[in-house]
Amino acid sequence: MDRVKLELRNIAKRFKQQKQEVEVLSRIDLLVREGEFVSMIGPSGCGKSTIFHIIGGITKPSSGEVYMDGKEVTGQKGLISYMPQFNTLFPWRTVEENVILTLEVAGVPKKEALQNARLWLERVGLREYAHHYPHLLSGGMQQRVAFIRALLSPQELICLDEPFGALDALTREEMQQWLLNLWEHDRRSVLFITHSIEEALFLSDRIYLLSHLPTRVMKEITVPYQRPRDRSILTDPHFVEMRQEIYDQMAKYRANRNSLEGVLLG
Amino acid sequence: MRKRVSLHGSRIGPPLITVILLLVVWQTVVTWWEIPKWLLPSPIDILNEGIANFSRLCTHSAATIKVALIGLAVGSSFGVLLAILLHIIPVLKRGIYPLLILSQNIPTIALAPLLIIWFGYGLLPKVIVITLVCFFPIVVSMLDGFRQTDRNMLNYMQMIGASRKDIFIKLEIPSVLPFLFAGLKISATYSVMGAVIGEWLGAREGLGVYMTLAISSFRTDRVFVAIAVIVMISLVFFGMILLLERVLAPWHKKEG
Repeated sequence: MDRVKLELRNIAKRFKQQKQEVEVLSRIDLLVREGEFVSMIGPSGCGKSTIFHIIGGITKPSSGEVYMDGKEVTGQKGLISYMPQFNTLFPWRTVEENVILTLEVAGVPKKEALQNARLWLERVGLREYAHHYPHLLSGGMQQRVAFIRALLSPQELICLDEPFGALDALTREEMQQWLLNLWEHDRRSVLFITHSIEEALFLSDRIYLLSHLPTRVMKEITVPYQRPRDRSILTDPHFVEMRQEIYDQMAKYRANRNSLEGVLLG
Repeated sequence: MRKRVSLHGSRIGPPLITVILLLVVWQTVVTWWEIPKWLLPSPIDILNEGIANFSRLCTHSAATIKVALIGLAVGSSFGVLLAILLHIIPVLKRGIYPLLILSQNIPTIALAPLLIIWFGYGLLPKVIVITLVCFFPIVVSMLDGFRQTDRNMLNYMQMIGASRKDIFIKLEIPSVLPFLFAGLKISATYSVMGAVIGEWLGAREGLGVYMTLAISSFRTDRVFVAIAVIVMISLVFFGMILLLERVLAPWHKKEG
């Protein structure tokens, strides 16, 4: 539980935009321990996905380093398992073929990968859809498949980028519980992006509160609830209090920011 | 450029009725004003001539189909290879693609006599003509497809550590397939036209030859017969590509 799986040290990212340099990420320090579920909450479009792209090695940070298991891996690809924000199931692959994509890329023989995939699909009740094309599935089921794909990939750290963002409220709740049950069995290290405070509190061990433009870590919050958890904690007074606290913090920040912008523009 | 043809009744019904109506009007006009056959034969005249000439037409059609198929095969293979090459090597794309578009302004009919001077009256100049008209729609369509490869899927593949080869085989090729078929549908239709143009300029048999002979003897009815046969062959080619698409890219059809 104590070993550090992923560590971001002093990550900054600046983009050139119309000859002007825009700082998107500023001095991000963040870590995920082994078997820990960590969330990042922040306003939409605050560069959370850029953080993932840096961890995944497809975007180079302007400064700072990424460490995985204590080794510097900045700019190295293929070290994380990833579930993107948007549906990236391949329409030309059936559900089971989609699920084994990461294994294929990792060089696992197809037969072995398929066996593994079917086992998992069976476990989550998607066995009968194994030979379907993804577009025949509902949004919630597609996200389940995408999550199984992430879970099956051999890397130990899973990065989930707003996986439930596009789902309706009920499906979303159902998916949170589903994810939690699966994860509590598996206990991989997870870094989770969301803009739902409740979702973050319900799922995580720790939460990083992010600010906007440039994105910084405003606050780190430890969630005290034991596992396995269920939805009853949502009505726990302390839970409600924490939720309100985070909400206030973000609202205060936004108000500050708006008045600052007002001053700048005025 | 995009055509939608389906064998289902709802889509084929209305155009079929239009065609029948046009034929009826044509027939009536020709009979009513007693237009001479060499000027404009009636649909029934054309049909009769087609039936009377059936065996000759079959021989000529077979020759044309053969040339068109060979040309289509060579032309589309060339198109696919060129598209892949230009996609993999961006420098090449920047250097060649604009010239490729320019080259399409050269009329094939003007080029064909040159090809005959250089390569004679055999199969080769015809295949070259067809290749020239066939490869272009495929290259344009495929490069368009490669460019439209889903960014999120591409990001995803890179994040999970896929190699360039993995990305090409597992992502880019399947996502470009529907575009390849869009190009192929155009090329397949062009290939018949290309074959006929090739035959006009010199061949022993084929619908192009049949047409030239018909024109020089003022057999307008035979010209129309040839046109009708060419249209039918083109439609069959088109249908074959449609069928191939359903087999090789089934997910695409189901989505639409």
